[in-house]
Amino acid sequence: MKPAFWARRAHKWIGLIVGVQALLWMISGVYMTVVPLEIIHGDHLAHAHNQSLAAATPRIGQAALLDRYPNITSIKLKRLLDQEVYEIKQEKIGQDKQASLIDARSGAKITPLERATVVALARKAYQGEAEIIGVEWVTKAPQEVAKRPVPMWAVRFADSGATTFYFSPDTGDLLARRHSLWRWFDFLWMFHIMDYQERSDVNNTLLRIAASVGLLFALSGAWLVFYSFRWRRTA
Amino acid sequence: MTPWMRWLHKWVGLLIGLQFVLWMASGLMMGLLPHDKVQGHEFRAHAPAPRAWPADVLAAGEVLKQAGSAQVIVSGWLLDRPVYQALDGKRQRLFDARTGRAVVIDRELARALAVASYSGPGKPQTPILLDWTQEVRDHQARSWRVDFDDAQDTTVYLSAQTGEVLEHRNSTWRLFDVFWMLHIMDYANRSNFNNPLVIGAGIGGLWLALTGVWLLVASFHLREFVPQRWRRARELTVYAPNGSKLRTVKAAAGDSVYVALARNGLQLPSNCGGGQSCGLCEVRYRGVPPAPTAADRAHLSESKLKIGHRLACNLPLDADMEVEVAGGASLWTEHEATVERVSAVTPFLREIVLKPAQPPGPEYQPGAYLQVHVPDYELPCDRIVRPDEHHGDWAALDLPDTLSNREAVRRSYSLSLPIDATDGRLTLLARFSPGRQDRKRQPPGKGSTYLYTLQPGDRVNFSGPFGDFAIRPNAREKVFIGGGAGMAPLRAMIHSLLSQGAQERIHYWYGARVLRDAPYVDEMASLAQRNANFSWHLVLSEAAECDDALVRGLVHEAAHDRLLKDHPALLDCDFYLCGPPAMLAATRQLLHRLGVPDEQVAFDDFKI
Repeated sequence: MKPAFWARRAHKWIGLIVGVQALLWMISGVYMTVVPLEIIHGDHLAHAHNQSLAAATPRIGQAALLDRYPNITSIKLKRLLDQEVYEIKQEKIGQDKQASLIDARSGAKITPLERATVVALARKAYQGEAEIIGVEWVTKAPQEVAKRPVPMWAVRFADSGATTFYFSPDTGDLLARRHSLWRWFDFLWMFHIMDYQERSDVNNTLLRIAASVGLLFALSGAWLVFYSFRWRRTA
Repeated sequence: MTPWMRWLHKWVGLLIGLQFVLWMASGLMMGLLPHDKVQGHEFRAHAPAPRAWPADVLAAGEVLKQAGSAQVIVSGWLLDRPVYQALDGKRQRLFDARTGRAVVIDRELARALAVASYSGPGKPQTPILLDWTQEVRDHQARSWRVDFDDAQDTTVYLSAQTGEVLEHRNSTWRLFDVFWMLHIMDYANRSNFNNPLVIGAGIGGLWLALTGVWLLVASFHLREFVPQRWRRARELTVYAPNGSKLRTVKAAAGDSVYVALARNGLQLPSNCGGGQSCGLCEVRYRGVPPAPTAADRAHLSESKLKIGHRLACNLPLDADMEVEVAGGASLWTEHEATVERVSAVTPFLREIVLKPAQPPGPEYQPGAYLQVHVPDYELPCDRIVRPDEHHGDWAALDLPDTLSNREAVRRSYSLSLPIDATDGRLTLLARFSPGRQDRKRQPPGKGSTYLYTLQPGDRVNFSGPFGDFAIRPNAREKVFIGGGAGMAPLRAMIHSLLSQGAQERIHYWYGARVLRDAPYVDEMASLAQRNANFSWHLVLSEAAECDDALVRGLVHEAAHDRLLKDHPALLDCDFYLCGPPAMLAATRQLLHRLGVPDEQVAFDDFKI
């Protein structure tokens, strides 16, 4: 039979295998290209502008700090709301590295941060108009922040994107900004890379097989284009 | 709906197809390249174990005096040296934690830091200071580049401000990055996947996928999932148009007539391979035909549908079936003929007279066409036979040095004289198709190249005859309108009518570009002289040589102005049309406007 016949057959049957996945690739691909990455990242929702440190602030001395908090491996001086704090990491045998915040003036430990502090941090960072509708102490990380360390504070806002900010109770850092556009992106990304569990492994066997078949599918289609545009008769 | 979807799928496929292949290929490659290697983890040394922050250093706050302004000050280690990093907006500066002095990352330090972060077998090359590099494009400040001479061509990039290791790049990453660029279609910066090009292509691709899924659902039938031998056997009986029974073939229920015939060696004419898109594989259903599908309607006229014509590729064999196939038995057979005479009628129209091995039967009627079997060939350009008087015309063509045809094809040519006028010879008229002259990529026609190399004595294979373009047996006034190689079937018809003593009025309007391109001018003029009921009108579209005897313009317009416009009994005329697509379309539109019913317009569409 003619090559055109085989090209059509191949395209049709391979299409049966990966056609739906090809559609999912295109839908997810179009979404990811159409919505700007900055919006997905939530740059419009939160600002991380820090105030400068003041040179003349009274602080406890380095020796006092090291004395009071043993085994310090790292020190960071920064601002938390209106006060200056030391973020220290302590190495303890048999334990994970532990970060804590120390009031730079008094030397008192202020972590884990309390609800009221986190609400104030969230209000300061949030760029929208909506009210906070919930603050939760999270000990088991949901899928959308699966890679962040627990426990965390989750602060929810009553905006249309169902924005959630996640804060570390140990450092006061804004760990993640999540909103519905991000959640859609993540959901579609799962279909794009076909890792339905972790949504992160781009080397999974399923994807490799589907992409191989997809390539054959595209090539058979390109082959078919040649036949679809040929003339009818000549004289 | 489905033919429209098919059309859309085909055209979007043409536009987006290449990018679609690239998406699949680059996606596959990114899936295959191991992520760890791409990320440069292979030769990346483990981070040094945390060590106690020494007591004999300055307090973090004291660095502010040197730094002036900062939002964050953080401790760190530069190899064995405790340091403070001061972050001021986007600026990062490094200070020695013991002395408070600013630290400069010089070449030696950069080399040492790079070596400390590297666990592979390579040796470091001299570090190079870069203002910016595509390989760590997100780092908007200066960086040190340290190459290692390992098999992966690892390069370590360090921030020139802080000495931090930015990335380990290697040849795997570089390859990945090319695929990434092709995937997101940002060829300049390889980072922005929100660019208009990829969005546009993506939307096109989405259309392609949506129409594709539609077509998938529309073109699969449940029965195709059952293996052929588990399906019931059906009989398909094939008849010739005259009603004579040709053959009965066995087929599996559910196969289309097209597939069933192909499995039995009867290849119906088709260019699309059974995809309902070329409309060539028509057959006539004997009995009560199934309702026409959208694809049938798209390709076949209402009157044909009414008498049972259907596309064979769209006609499932659910029960035993009988069909009529135009061309009938000739589809199965291959005939042989010898070239008897070749004459260059005009520079690019050539008459080829074939003597078939078996004498042709009555089915070789005027209007029918043959499929010449064009073998694969590779010939030097000068094998094309060129008579002296046409040398100038051929010299103007820009032909490639070698003409080749890699797979055997069939090309169709109409008979240009009735066989009873030629003592059983088959006369063809072949136009030379020069290809696109402005671009080399489209070479001359495969069929015409072959025919133009033929010389008397050569052997030619062909199938046929085919076609339903034929004179209707009636005595109505006849108007023939043609152009180019459309001369062939019209000439055969006119010769046949006149030699059989037809008495009705016969008009022949024929269009050519210039007189030199018009074939058989004298022959037609002499036919007109000898037959009072036949009139011949040559219409030339280029002005230069028009004298009183010739008409200037487009042939359908000339026929309209001088004959059809004031014809008293236009609706009693039969029309026979054949010529290039534009001419044919314009003429059919004209007749439609004049109110001539479709049944009275017969035409042969050469498509080229």
